[in-house]
Formats: sequence, structure tokens, C-alpha cells
Amino acid sequence: MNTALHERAPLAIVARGIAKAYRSSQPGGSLSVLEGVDFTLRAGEFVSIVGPSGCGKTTLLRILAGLVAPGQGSLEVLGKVADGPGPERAMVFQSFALLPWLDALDNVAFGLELRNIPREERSAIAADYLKLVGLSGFEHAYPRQLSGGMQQRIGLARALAVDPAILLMDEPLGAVDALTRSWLQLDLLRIWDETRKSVVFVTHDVGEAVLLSDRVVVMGTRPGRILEERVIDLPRPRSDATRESARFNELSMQIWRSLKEMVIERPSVGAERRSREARAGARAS
Amino acid sequence: MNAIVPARGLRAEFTGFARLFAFVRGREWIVLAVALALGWELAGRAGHWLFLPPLSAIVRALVKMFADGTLPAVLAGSALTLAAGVAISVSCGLLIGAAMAQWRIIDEALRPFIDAMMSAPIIALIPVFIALFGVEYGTRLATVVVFSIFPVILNTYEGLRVVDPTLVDMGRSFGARGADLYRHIRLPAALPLIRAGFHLCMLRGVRGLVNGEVLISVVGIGGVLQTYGAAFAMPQLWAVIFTIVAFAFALLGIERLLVRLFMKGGGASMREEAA
Amino acid sequence: MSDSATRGSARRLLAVRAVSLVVVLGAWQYFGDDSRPINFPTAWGTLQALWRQLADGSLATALAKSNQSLLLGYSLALLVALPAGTIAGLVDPIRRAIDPFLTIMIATPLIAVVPVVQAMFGLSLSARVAVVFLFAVGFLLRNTMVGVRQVDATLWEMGRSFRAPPFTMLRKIVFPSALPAIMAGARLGLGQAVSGMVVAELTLVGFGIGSAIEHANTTFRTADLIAIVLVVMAEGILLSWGARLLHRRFERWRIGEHGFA
Repeated sequence: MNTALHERAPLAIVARGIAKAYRSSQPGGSLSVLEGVDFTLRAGEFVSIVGPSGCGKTTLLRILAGLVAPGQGSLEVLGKVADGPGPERAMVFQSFALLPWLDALDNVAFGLELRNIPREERSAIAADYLKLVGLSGFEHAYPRQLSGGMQQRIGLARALAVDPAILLMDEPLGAVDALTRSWLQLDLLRIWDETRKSVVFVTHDVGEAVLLSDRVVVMGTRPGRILEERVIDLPRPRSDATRESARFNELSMQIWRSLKEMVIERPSVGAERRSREARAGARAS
Repeated sequence: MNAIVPARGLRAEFTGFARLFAFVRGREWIVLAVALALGWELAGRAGHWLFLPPLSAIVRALVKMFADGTLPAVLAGSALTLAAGVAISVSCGLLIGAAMAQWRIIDEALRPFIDAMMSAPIIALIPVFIALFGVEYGTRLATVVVFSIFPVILNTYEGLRVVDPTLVDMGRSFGARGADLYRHIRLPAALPLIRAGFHLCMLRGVRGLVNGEVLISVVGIGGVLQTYGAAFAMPQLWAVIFTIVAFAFALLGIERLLVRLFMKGGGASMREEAA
Repeated sequence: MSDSATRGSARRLLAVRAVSLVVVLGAWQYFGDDSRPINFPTAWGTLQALWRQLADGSLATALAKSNQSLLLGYSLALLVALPAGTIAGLVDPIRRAIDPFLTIMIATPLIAVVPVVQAMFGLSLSARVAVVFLFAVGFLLRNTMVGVRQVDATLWEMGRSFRAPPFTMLRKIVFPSALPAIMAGARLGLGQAVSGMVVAELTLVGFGIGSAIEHANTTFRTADLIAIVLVVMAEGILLSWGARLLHRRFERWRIGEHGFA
């Protein structure tokens, strides 16, 4: 089972006691976005973070990426203390963040260009990754000429091109239409199978999280903190058929229910008890 | 077009006119220009108004002034002054605008001044320059700079300010910092606005050049204008006016060319959409 | 940001601007030299010159006389540009006919035409009014034309479907839609008109600012000159800001009353 495999893998990310607050016009003067968050990622693991909007999952991801400094807490990446972005992590953005004045090939080669890799070499590498994401032939197209799904593939290729150990993905399929999203999810599974990166994947789509991940972390809101974690024991490699399996639906429903309690009712004592029980149950299996 | 079927000879004339009509439709300014030119020539010949010599006399004066080399020499001098002034405006303006975008304290200190200078009649400063620096070359240069630097500063500042923060984040996530971020992300993203700033810079620079030269009076193309104006040599005066107009347009054309050469449009002007 | 945070940054803004103002004035005071009128004066010396010219009324009269040409020239430009621009915007062949000429007018330094205006009108008020008119009319015409042309085609069709008579169409559909562009043109035109006024004053010297400046030059009083120029520039800046304020208030009223952008 993948769980057992991962429990023996080295730690890619260890975040402890992460807290982040922003100054606000609220009474009290500060808005606490994250509180007491502990998060770990093991090598080769695919972990999703799900939660309602405003729960701080994007902030957590940006802290893991090193783009934002945590107010409190510590962050270790690949065993070393991290205080800023690093070459072992690469990010994929919800709004694609492609440079509109570069064509697809140059966009994919962007990270390599920053590392002063000579033009011929980086163009070759970029072309390879464009092929991996299924965009061969579009090397010289500009972002504005391409659909959302294609643009996001370029974003993914760009992140993969610098060969990071860890991929951080911020609702990468949030800005594409539902049909493209289903297609891209399957593509992501394929690409991950081939590259086996350690991935932190932020999403609000529970089904997506369950389909793609080894483990799902559920975050609560106000303040943002981790409510529960579920191991996804669906067999790999996964495919379209996985979506129809009973276990998939069961897991999705369980997570969906936790989220619903959080969003519709304020976390009551009962809900917290339930999530504690679920966590205990997951650890036991 | 085939509703009427006249006799053969008439038909040929019809198609001639039809073709002319088709050519002019969409280019109506040609009709206006021809009408104005004709009217000018006739009115000039009639001699009612001192200030309106016949167009042919103006053309003759123009040709003569170019042939004997007076105008080209003067134009070259003015063009060089303009080029030097614009170069100063562009380089200093870019730096100041970038500094304002990068460090808030510089923005806070300078902005009211720059806003004021953009809306003030800068031409009023020319008498001061003349009184302080005389009719030296420096005055002409200073005038061009003062006229043309502020749009560059403002547009550079604006352009750098509106760079998409997600793009900057993306750059940082790939390890870019400081100078790298500028080179790869901030400057390219700011380019459209900066380009617009250059255009305004050129436009105002030409204005500054001619205004300065007219008021200083003995130098450059503006000075020539003044000389003929004072002497009421109307054909020559009009010839110089046309020259100035052509000069302004030539410079704007050069500016557009330079911009296209040195700033990759990078597909920014492409409007193709994916299916 | 919290209340105290915003107040803090507003305070800092004020401090920075106050400090830079003090620095500039201080440097001016330091590098100036009031010993002889012909020298570049200190800040205080300039202030004194300004006060003197205001007190003896010369500056006020000069400003009043100059602004006559500004007022007349700008109003004339509005009177001509609005109807002409509307017609040109509506009738495409006319627009195509005059557009290149407008471009020429806007791109050329119009000071070049002043000697011709002088030959036409002499050194009179009419000459200066003509110069202001020429400076302002280009932007006004172009913007009115563009504004009228850009009226939403759907609104046109809506008007025609209700069989609105042409003048009503103009009043209720064309003009309100074109108004933003026209206002922008009016603002640009005002700035140009002020420049035109200064150009006219400096070249077709009458009894206004131009003659005051000439007087300061012939008596070699640099402080007087700088004072006058500062006042003129201040007028231009104030007019421009006033126009911007009016424009913004008008926009707010328009969006508030009619609820559309």
C-alpha cells in the first residue's frame, strides 16, 4: 500500500507551528489567517489540501514555497531550514502566471534561463517537457493564442523543467472549465506517475483531491488550521475508472461531510469530536 | 453599376470616374486637401490677404531654401539638439520613474512636483531659462528636456507599478530576485506604458524645441521662422511652417521606427484568439 | 490596514512632503543671491518681488488681461468643436476627410503659426484669442469626434427602434454616451489653451503677462520675472486640477444618478 511506502520515505517538508496574521481594520487590529499549523510531506507523496475559501490554504502554500515568511513557526525543506524560495521547490499558479511576451517554449524555459543555462540547452529541455504535457507543436505559440487548459500545461511544464524535488500547486485547475479540468486531472496522474515528484496540491474540489492524492489534509477556517487528515488508500495507477469506485465515493463523501459541517455550521463540539475520531480511525488502518 | 448602359464612349468615362470615386471613398482627406490647395492657390493669386500667398509661391520658396542648403543645415542642428535632449529625458526619466516605483519614499516626495509639471504651461519657463542661461546651446537643450522628461517619468512609474504581482511571485518562486526580476518580469511588463511615455516624450520634445528656438529667436528652425515672420516674407514663412510640420512628422515616424526596433512587440500587438 | 496604520502612513506622507519642500526652499535660499536684481534671487527675494507686484496691482491687471484671451479663445473653441465634432463623428466621410488634418494640428508645435496670425490680426486681442483657439480646438475636435463615433451601436438601434427623431437621438443617446470622451477632450483642450495663452503673451505681446515679463526683462529684475512665471504656472496647475475635480465629481454624479458606467 502506498501509505506504508511513504511512511518509510524521507521527509521532504516539515512545517511546525505555522501561524500568520495580517494587520486589518477589524477590532483587535489583526486578522489571523493561520494558527498552529503542522504539516509534513514525505518524498514521493502527493498531498492535497482542501478547505473552504478563505481558510488560508493558499497562504500556507506560499509559506511552504518561501514566498511569504510565517509569523511564527519553523519550516524545513529537505532537512534544511528554509527562509525563502529555493531550487528544490517549484510552483504552479492558478492564474497560470505565464509571461505574455514569451512564446510557449521560452515560458517553459524561464526557470532554466534564470539559472543561466545556455539557450540551446534550455530550449531542448523545454521542448522535452512540452512534449511531456502534450503540447508538442505549440512551441512558438503565445499564451493569448492558447486556451486555459493549454496555458496551465505550460505552467506545469515550466515547473517540471527545473527538476524540483517538490511541486507546489495552487488550485492549478481552478481557472479552467469543468470539462478541461477532468481531462487535466487524468493528465496530471499520468505525468506524476512518470515523474514521481513530491506534491502539495491545494484545491477546493474534494473529488479532485481524492482522485489525485495519497493523503488529503482538511483545513478549517477562521482561523485557518488543520482539522483532519485522511489517507487515500485507492490503488495506483489511478484512472477515469477510479472515479466510479465505491471507495472513491466513500472517501469523497466523508471529506465532503467534514467540510460541510465547517461551512454550514460553525465547528461545533460534536463536529470536532467526529473529526478527532476519524483521524484516530485513519491512523489505525 | 450596370443599371445604366450608355453608349460606348460615355461608358469609358463612367468607369474612369467610378474608379476615381472608389479610390477616394475611404480617403476623403485627399478631396479636402486638393480643394484646399486649389482654393489657396486661387485666393493667393487674387492677393486680397497679405498673409495668404499663392501655394505655388510657397512651394517655390521651399524648393529654393532646400536647394541652397540653408534649411537642411538648420534642420540638422535642430534635430541634433532634439536628439540630445530626448536622450537625456529618456535616460534620466527611466531612472527616476523606476526609482519612484521601487522606493515609496521617493514616490511620495516627487509625485506632487511631477503631477504639477505635467499640467503646468511649461513654456512659461522659457523666459526664465533665457534670463538665467542666455541664448546658449544649454538653454535650448534644457528646454527640450524640461518639456519631454515628465511623461517618461510618469509612464515608467505607472508601468512598473501595475505589474501583475502574481507574475512577480512566479519569478521569485523560480529564484529571481532584484535585478533579475526587473530584467525578466517588471520591465517587459511595463513596456507598453513606457512606450507610450516615449511617444509623449517625443511629441513634447518637438514642441519644446520649436518653442525654445522661436523665443530665443536667432537659432534653429524656430529662429528662421521668427526671422521671416518679422520681415513679413510670407512665402518663405509658410515654407518654414510646412517644413516644421514635416519635421515633426518625420521625427514621430523615426520614433515609431526606433521603438519597433528596440522594443520587441513580443506578440503584444497580435490579437489572435484560440478557438 | 488598521486605523492607526493608515493614519501612520498618511502622517509619514505629510512628513516626507514637508521635508522635501523645506529642503528645496532651503537650497533655493542658499544658492540665491539678492545683492543685485539681475542675479538669480533667493526664495525670499522672489516672494518679496511677488508681493510687491501684487500690491501695486500690476500683476493682477496683467493676469486679468491675459485671461481675457484664454476665456474667449477657449469658449470659441468649445463653440466650434462641439457641433463640428459631432457632425464629423456622425458622418464618416467628413471624419475621414478631416482626421489627418487634425492629427497634423495636434502633432505640430502650433507656435509656428503665430507669425501668420500676427499677419492676419496684428498685435491685437483678436490675435491672441485666435492663438488660444487654435491651440485648444485640435484636442476638442478630435475627442468629440471620437466620442460621438464610439456610441454603442446597440444604443443606436434601440433609438431607431423607438423611432426617435434625430434631434432627440442626439440629445438622449449620442451626447450622453460621448460625454466622457468630450470631457477628456475639454480637459486636454484647457491645458492646451493655457499654453496657447502663454505663447500668445510671449510672442504677440499685449498688455498682459507678456508685457509684464518684458518689463521685468528690460529692467533686469530676475526676481520679478520668476515671480510672474511662477504665478502663471500656478494658474495653469490650478485650472488643470480644478478641471480634474469637476470631471471626477461629474463622473460620480453620472454613475450615481444613472447607474451605468
